[in-house]
Amino acid sequence: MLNQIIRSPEPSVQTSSHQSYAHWIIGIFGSWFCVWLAGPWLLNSILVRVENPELRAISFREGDTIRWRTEGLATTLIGPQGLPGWLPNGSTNKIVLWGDSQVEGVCVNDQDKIANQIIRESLHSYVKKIDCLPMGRSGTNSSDWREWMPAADELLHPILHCWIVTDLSDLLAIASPSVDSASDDRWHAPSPAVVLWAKRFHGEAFFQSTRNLLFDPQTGRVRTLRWSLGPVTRQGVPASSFTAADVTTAISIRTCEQLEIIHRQFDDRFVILYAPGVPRIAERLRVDHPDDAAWDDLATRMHSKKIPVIDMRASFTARWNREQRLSRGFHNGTPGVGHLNALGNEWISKAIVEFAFGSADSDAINAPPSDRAVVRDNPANSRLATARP
Amino acid sequence: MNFAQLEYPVFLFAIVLLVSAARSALQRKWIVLAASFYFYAYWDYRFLGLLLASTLLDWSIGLSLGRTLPASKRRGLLALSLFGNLGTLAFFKYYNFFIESAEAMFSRWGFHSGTLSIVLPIGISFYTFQTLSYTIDVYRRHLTPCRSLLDFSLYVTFFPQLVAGPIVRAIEFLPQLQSSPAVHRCQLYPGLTQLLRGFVKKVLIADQLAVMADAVFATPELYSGPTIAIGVLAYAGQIYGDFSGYSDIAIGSARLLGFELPKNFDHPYLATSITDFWRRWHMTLSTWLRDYLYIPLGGSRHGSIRTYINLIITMLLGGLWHGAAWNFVAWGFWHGLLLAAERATGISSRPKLTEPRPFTWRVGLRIASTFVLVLIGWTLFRTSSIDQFLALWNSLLNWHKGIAWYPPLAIAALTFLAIEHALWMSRLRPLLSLPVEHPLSPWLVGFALAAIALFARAQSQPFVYFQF
Repeated sequence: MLNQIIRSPEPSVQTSSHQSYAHWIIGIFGSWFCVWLAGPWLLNSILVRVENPELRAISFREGDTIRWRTEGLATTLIGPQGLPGWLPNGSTNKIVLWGDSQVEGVCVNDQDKIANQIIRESLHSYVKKIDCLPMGRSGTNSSDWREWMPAADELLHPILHCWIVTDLSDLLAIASPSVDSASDDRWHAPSPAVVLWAKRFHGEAFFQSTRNLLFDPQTGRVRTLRWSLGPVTRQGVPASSFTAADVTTAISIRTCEQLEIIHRQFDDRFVILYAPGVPRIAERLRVDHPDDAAWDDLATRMHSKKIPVIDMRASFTARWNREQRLSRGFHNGTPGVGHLNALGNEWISKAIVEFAFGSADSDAINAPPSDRAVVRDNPANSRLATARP
Repeated sequence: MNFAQLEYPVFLFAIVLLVSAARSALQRKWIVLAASFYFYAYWDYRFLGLLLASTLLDWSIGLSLGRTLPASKRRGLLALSLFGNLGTLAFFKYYNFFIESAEAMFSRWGFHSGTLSIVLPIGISFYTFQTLSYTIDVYRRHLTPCRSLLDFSLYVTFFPQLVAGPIVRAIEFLPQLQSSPAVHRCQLYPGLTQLLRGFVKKVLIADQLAVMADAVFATPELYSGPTIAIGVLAYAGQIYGDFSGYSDIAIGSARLLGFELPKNFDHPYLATSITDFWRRWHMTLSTWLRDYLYIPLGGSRHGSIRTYINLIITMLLGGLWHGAAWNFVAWGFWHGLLLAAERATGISSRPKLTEPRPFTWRVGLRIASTFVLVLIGWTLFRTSSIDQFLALWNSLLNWHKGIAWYPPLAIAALTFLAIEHALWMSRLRPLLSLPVEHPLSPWLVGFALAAIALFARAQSQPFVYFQF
């Protein structure tokens, strides 16, 4: 048997060119057929986005299953309103989470997503049954969240809107779209017919290989080949983080003004959670972040306007010091880099629940950057414990 | 141009078409030469002049050596070639290294000298060795000088091997130009499959392993002992996949154009001794070092002690050839020491494992112990400072409790490599190079193409040996 597999056809038995072509056609198609069969298990699912008239926005298609393989090995069931991993539990006390892919959370299984961990944590620690809706959409920023919030508020009447900010540029976009205009076009129009067709026929393998070949993974644009002579002056990838120097006082003031408007617009049912990627591994383990100075400046302004803020930096660093565990990264990624993992989601969930229902002694909540261990003014704490129906 | 970028297959396909459409051998040579200059200028046209100067220098010295001249004049011409080639290499590659090292040593006595901002011309280590080997061979009268500047230029600049080898000897390449190479139908499948094998090694193995190796070697103190152990294995797999993948692409590309380049790798991690390892790893460099450095130093002709010293000097310089840094010198010294030790104990005379054979514990133990010694060498090669090296070994030997990280794709790539090596040792070895008419061939090709299309990393890593 073994010999039959490895033995080449005898030279005397000359296969005709027709047979040879047939072999090759069958082999190539057969191998790709196997890849097509295995595709749904090995590759990221095709994401279908549809119009959601109730939310007046684009969302995932309810009932779809998303398998994610790039970071983490997770499966997400798209719940009502196209929200990933959301199963309504009938509670009238709702928290709505806004953010980018970190809130979308397709890298972790449904039970590990921030929203579901908040539901569990509030029940476990405060015996409060709440519902939490993950409105996070990959590639979006504060301009989009602000645009989508009124419809969601009208439909859901949440006790709290929480913006989960992992990249400061996403927050600054509200005041200065030119700072970060990376808002993802995919959330402004439903998926084209070809995507629906590919999803229907489980065409993950063909879809992904074609996309890899035709599109530049860095920019998402159609790939162009370079034929000119070098040297090439490398075009840097647009920076997504800002130094204090980049964020002018004017931008900081404008951002704070906009946030104050939102804070008032939603009757103080608004909090910003800041969870940048710290500690991070950059030649060594670093607990600082390039955005620190810009964030501290903005946080001081928000504090003076009594806009509630949860700062996760100290908490993440303390966890590393205590347990040597990081909030980001997966086995099939790089530790400390990329999306929030189940642990990071857990720590964030605890902080949000504590903000909503806990005492005012929390370390991270609304403390001015100069004195993070002490809490001053936290107008939201007591109010949220007696949420409106 | 980088073999791993999408432009390369398009470029190669176009050149193969042009060469096959050419009417004469002369046309074909001109096409390949023009393609080679374009290939090099694609990276940076400003260094074409250096490449041309090196080509012209050795071609003209070769011609002069071909005329019967007095021995002293011949030696002078050889010295001129050595000075020209090694001087250029020393300036571009080693100037800053020597200045920095001298400063570190003599700064207490007031020695200070600034370094220069020098761009290392890509492939300079490789083409310098090629042109040197030509001149030395002509000087030794092992080779008649090449009269055609076109042929000699093609030998030096032939694009598949220009930037990272294999280091081709003129004695192997120039005769191929005499027999008017052309695109042969029978070479298309072997060439394409070798090309595909190279892409699989580079894109699916080396690039996947690089993620883990880079992270672990950058901050070893953060990771757990088992993670570091896998990280070291990942680097061994990365550098093998990267360089042997590059060599496969080079050999496959050359074959498509009708040229044969020498084999550069022969499953080095199955070596039963360090001597055997160097018969399998970067074979064209090790034979170059043997013929143009070790033997001229005296080889094994002057007693045991001189042999050991010669081995260590050869490997030290071989290490330095890889890069202008002390870690490469230390790596070379480590291998030189091991080669000398093997020579002293007689291990070096062990036969090379070439044919498939049943597994025996004795052979397995030899392979494993050699592999461990090679891994120790790779940790020297990869770490950029003694502190980093010590931190790595400290975490590894203390089975340090840090981040436990086991990336599945890296482990899959290592498993794939291990299975490929096991197949090579077994009776299933023919599976690794099936002929075109075998029914399994299209399936394997189809799976390989699919895997590359689906799992290639968004940002391909540059070839490790490009920096040398």
